[in-house]
Formats: sequence, structure tokens, C-alpha cells
Amino acid sequence: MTTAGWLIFTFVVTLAFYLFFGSWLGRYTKSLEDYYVAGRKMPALVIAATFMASWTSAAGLSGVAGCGWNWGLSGALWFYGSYFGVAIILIWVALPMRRGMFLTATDFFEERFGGSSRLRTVAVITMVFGMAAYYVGQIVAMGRIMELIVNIPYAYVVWSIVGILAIYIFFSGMMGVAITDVVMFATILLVAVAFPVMFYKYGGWNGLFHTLPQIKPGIWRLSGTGGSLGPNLHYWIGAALAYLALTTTSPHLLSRAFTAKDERSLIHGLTWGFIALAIVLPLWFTAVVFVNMDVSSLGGVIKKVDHVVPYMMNNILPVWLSCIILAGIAAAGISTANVIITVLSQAVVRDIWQKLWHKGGKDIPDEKVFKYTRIWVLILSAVLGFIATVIPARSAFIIAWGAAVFAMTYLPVVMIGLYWDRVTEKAAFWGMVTGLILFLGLSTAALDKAVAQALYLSPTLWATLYSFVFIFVASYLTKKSPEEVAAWEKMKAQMFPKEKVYGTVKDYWSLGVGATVFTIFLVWFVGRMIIS
Amino acid sequence: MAYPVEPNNTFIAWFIFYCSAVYMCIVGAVVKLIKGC
Repeated sequence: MTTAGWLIFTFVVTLAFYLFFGSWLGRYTKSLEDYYVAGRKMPALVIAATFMASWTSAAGLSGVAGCGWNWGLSGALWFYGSYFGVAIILIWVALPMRRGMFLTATDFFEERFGGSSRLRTVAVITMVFGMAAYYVGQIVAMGRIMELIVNIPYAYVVWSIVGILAIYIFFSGMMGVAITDVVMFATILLVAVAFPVMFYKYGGWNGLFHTLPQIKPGIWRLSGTGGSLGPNLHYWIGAALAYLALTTTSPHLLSRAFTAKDERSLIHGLTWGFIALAIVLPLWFTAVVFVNMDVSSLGGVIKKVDHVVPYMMNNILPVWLSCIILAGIAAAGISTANVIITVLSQAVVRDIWQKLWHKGGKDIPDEKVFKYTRIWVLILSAVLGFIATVIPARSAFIIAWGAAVFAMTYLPVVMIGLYWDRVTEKAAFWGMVTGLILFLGLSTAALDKAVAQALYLSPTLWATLYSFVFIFVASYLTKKSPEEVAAWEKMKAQMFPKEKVYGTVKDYWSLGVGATVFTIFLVWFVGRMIIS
Repeated sequence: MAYPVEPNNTFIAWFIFYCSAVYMCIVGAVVKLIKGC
């Protein structure tokens, strides 16, 4: 069989596996809690996999790696501004959110502020638009990448992925998302195998740190080749902030905390998953940087940075490795899309239909919510799949927009809401609304180059800064209602309880091993660069 | 063979800064478990 034949075979087998395995998991999905938060019984391994697999996207593994090929490793790693977001969610956000026993992320907005349905409304609207844009962005990126790699028409790729996701999530919901993410995360980690293969093929450390800079001067500079990152620094910081906000407070990642079995599983899961990915991603990006030894400029056989990984798979790597990488990229894309479609259908049924339309809907039986959520998985998949096939915009733009809306809405309200007693419902509500309007206005105006230059900082940065300041100032100028005070006292007692969970010797041992493993990686990688 | 001089020390500093997110995460986890989360 030809390389193309093997790749198509891998793609079909991968999708078929997720379809059957994911649907089969439906037998363990019996209650609404199973369907919404995987029964709140996921161990550390599953938390690590589901958080990190959802976090890594297909565009991240392919397009961003291509940026690394062109601008150097710093060009690739800039996109991962959310690195610090993982630490922030672990230390400040995940544990109280899990203790809140919410079903959806927007529950926090309503319950924190004394049953404010208008705050839930704006949170749901932001989420539906942000997550829908993010989903479509993921699907568009996957369609384009797969079209390039396996040479199957774009629309076929889009509909097969959307269809398979819709079917298996219809059956197994969040339970299916969490468990299939374990397989997907393992597949994503395997892309690191490309590093030793490229490394030995192209002259090892000498090739990496001496020959490569001759072919492409500046590949190992902070500012990248030609210093192209320098003038655009504020753009990269804006993008990094958007992804940081997405990592810290976006519903599709925040909801991972709800599925955890207990607090220690959550802590271990996030930390170990993060360590694994923080080793694998630089190795993978460096493997792609090696492609410069073969082709080092845009315009010839590689026309866009998106084409670098497909080129590498078709022309450089052995077939078996190309198949592994294809499966890894597919897993990265599917594991991000599966959780988004799940939280989106939950938003429509629980947040909009039950909580807002039926004003709390306490008399609506769980079975009905369960059934409707399943139906909405299918409806939303059909609508968003259709949008993905006809949308002309570049996928990176759609994803960036979808990611950015959480920076000036969810990030300030969740962080301030958790750690500042004085914040008022009015301040939170108007901060979110005006922050969002400001962001939409500025980002539309910034399409004009002159305006973008006059702004200097990215619209995301301005709007986020504004939102934080607004909420602080407005909280001092407004008063809390008695309901708000009572609601927060009750929730605070639940989120920050008096009885604490302490670690055992085993916990410290395993975290110590994690720190050691990562330090060895860092010394090995950076140390070689210094010696070279 | 004369190697080109690469000012790669800025990259190393930056890379270590970037990786410090992982240490922040590990230290955060340990502190949480010691102080009680």
C-alpha cells in the first residue's frame, strides 16, 4: 500500500474506533450526572487525559508546529500562553469549582450572585458564541489538515468527524468524552516519537544547534528568524492572554473539574498531565523544526506554514510514524471538539431551556433534561457541521475569536467572584456585558490596520483590562442585595470548607518524582544547547 | 568548520521562564496538600 493509502486507512480506523468505543461506553451512562459530569467519579489518570487532550488541538499540533518551523521554537511556544493557565486553574480555580457541585459552568454565575438569572443569561450567550466559534474553528482546522494529509475532500472529512462525534456523544455524554480522552491523550503523547527519528536522521545536537542556524539564522533566537516576533510582541501577548483565559475559565476545561472523583485526583491529574504535555510538545515542535534541513523556505514545495507537517509526513518520516502522527493530530482535534459539543448541548437544554425558560425548572424531571440534551447534541452537530463546511474565514481567526471572548467575561468574574467578597452582581453583570461589547467593537475596528496600530495593544488585552477595572470600581459604587450576601456565604462555606484535605507521603513522593522527571528533561534539552 | 555565533542565551532564558509554569504547578500542588486544600 502507498503512504497515502496507509494514512487513509489509519484515519478511517481511528474514527471507527472512537465511534464504537465511545458509543459502547453509553452503557455506563445511566443518570443525568453521568451524562453531564461523568458521574463525578473520574480518577487522576482520566483527569490528566481529559484536561490535557481537550486543551491540545489539531491546529496546535499542526499549524503551530509549522510556525515553529518558520520562526523558531519560540514562534511555536508563544501560542501556548495558556501554560501558566494550567497552574492558575490548579491553584485557584479547580478545587473550589469542584466543591460547588455544579452541573454546568454557568451555574456558578447564577448561584454566586444570589440567583441572578441575567448573569446566567450573559454567561450562556458568551459561552454559546465562544464555544460554537471554537468548535467550528476546530472542525475547519481538522478538515483542512486532513484534506492536506490524507487527500480526502474537505466536506467528507468535516461530516465524518462531526457525525461520529454526534453519534457517540449522543450515547455516552461526558462519560464517553472523559474515557475516550484517555486513549486520545495516549495517542497525542506518541507524536514525541518523531523527535528521535528526526534527530538521528539530521545529525543530532550538532545538526540542531549548529547546522540549523546556518540554514536558518535566528532559529534559536528569542525573537525568532528575522526578529519577526519583535514588532508584533503585543499581538503574541494578546493571543497568550486569550489562551490563558481559555485554559483557566473556559466552560469546556472548567467542567473537567466537576468530573473528578476527589480533590487529590484533581490535583494529581492536572499536574501529571501538564508535565507529560510540557515534555512532549517541545520535542514534537523541535522535530518539526528539523524539517528546515530538507526544505527551509516558504513558497516552493511548502506554500504555507500549515503545509509543513503534511510535507514531513509524506516525504520524510517512515510510513508507520506518519500513521501515528496522523492518529495523534486526529485525537487532538476530536478530543477538543467532543467536549465542546457536550457542554454546548448542556448549555442549550439545562441553562437556556430549564433554568432560564422555565425559571429554574425544578419540577422538570431529570430524565427529560437527559433526553433533550441528547437530542440537542445531534441538532447542534448538524448546524455547526453545516457552518464548518460553508464558512470562508481562516480557522485560526475563528478559534482566536472564540477563545478570546472568555478573557473579558469569564476570567474576571470567576477570579474576582471566588476571591473577593465585596464584588456585586451589578458590577459583574455590567462588567461582562460592556467588556464583551468593547471587545467586539475594538476587534471589528482593528480589522483596519490604522486602527490596530493606534490601539497598539490587542483588543483582547484592552477589553480584559477594562473588565477587571470596571468590576472593581463598580463594586465599590454599588451595594449587594441581602440575597447576594446570603448566597455567597452559603457557597463560600461549601467551596472553602473548614475541614481540609491534606496530602499523604505518597502524594509528595509522586509529585517529587514529577518535578525530577521534568528537571531532567529541562537540563538535558537546555544543557545541550549551552554546551553546543 | 566555523560555527555562526548564535545569541541563543536569550532563548534559553525564555525557555526556562516558560517551563517555570510546570514548576509553579508542582509547587502549587505540594503547597495545597501541605496547607490543606
